Amino acid sequence: MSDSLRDGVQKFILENYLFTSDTSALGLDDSLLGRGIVDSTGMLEIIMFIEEQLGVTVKDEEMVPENLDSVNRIAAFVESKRKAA
Amino acid sequence: MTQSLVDLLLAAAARDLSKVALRRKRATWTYADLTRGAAAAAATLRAAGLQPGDRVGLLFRNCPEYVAFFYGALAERLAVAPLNVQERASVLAIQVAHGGVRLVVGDPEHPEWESLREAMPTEVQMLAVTAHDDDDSVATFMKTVDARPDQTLESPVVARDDMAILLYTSGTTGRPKGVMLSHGNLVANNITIIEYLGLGPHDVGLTVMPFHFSYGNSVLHTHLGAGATLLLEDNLAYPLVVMQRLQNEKVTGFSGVPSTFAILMSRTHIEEFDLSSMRYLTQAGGAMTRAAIQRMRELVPSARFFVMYGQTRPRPVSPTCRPTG
Repeated sequence: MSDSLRDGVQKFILENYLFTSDTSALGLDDSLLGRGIVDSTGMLEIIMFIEEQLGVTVKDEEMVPENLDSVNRIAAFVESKRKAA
Repeated sequence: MTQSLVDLLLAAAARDLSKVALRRKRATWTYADLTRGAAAAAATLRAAGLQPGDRVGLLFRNCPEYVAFFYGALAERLAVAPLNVQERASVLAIQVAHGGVRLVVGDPEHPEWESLREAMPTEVQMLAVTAHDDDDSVATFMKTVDARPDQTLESPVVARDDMAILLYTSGTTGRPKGVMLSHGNLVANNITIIEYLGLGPHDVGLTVMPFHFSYGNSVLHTHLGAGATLLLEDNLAYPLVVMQRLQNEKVTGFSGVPSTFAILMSRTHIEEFDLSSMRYLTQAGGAMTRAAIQRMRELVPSARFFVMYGQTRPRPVSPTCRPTG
């Protein structure tokens, strides 16, 4: 997995939900929902970030925890979508 | 004698103790588990030195452990201050101090738990109770609290105007305000809603709204007061997961704010799910357009759609526009 993609996702979540640039505040496998970092509006903002900044369309049926519930899962999901494109 | 929500819960439990009251992931609590858990929570609060009239803060996501402590606190004639799990410790600490909360019971896994300890006045106690989503949730809870075999949940002797909940508003128009809701408020609200929704033991509700939100609070207690089953979710981050649950668990009732329905309509294909068990949909917390309501009614034809007005402050009751169709 590309480190820059993963770093970009982590940076977006840190800055927009945790208001910090300290990477130790968010583990790459931390559950975004389980830790209460995002709610339903926050998840829609993450979808917008993925679609607008990362250039990958998220289908409705792809909005599931397996694809979106941690930095690593989001990065892996985006990467697989880019490969499939 | 003035009733409290505890009396409504006890009456529901007396009808069928083995009925499932709450389910969150794999954690399943029957009415027997819930009343036993609440009795043990009451004993725990008493052992912590709380006296009738004291306020206790609860900081949990939507989970059975919250509910056990809620009813345990009412049984001890304490007032509950449900705290917003999405709020930061600095804001929660202001509410705790403003509300005169003596003890905060919460999940130590909460990201703000340690910060809250530092931000609060030192005399405020904290009690850590981890919420579990697994099969052993009830047993684990009973080991955490002061559980004894001879405990039973007792109906508290309260006056109609005694405060039962201290609920902080979201603070849209300024600083969050602490709204005092009495036992009389809550019981009237519960009985009215149970009656007009026709809630009963046959119902399976699903809530995505947090309990610290007055509408989420109302959904919780009306379903328990009616002896129904309530499935717990925290939010709608994964709309597809919620839609699958509504279908697979044959849910009969679902409540949302306008954005809940907007998200479901825009991010899922509602018409592709079998929601034929759905008997009622309720909406409050903001104005929903006539067109959006009409669309939901078309998508879920088996359900009656209730438009409620349930702001925190003008309680005692949630007025509603009863559907004519």
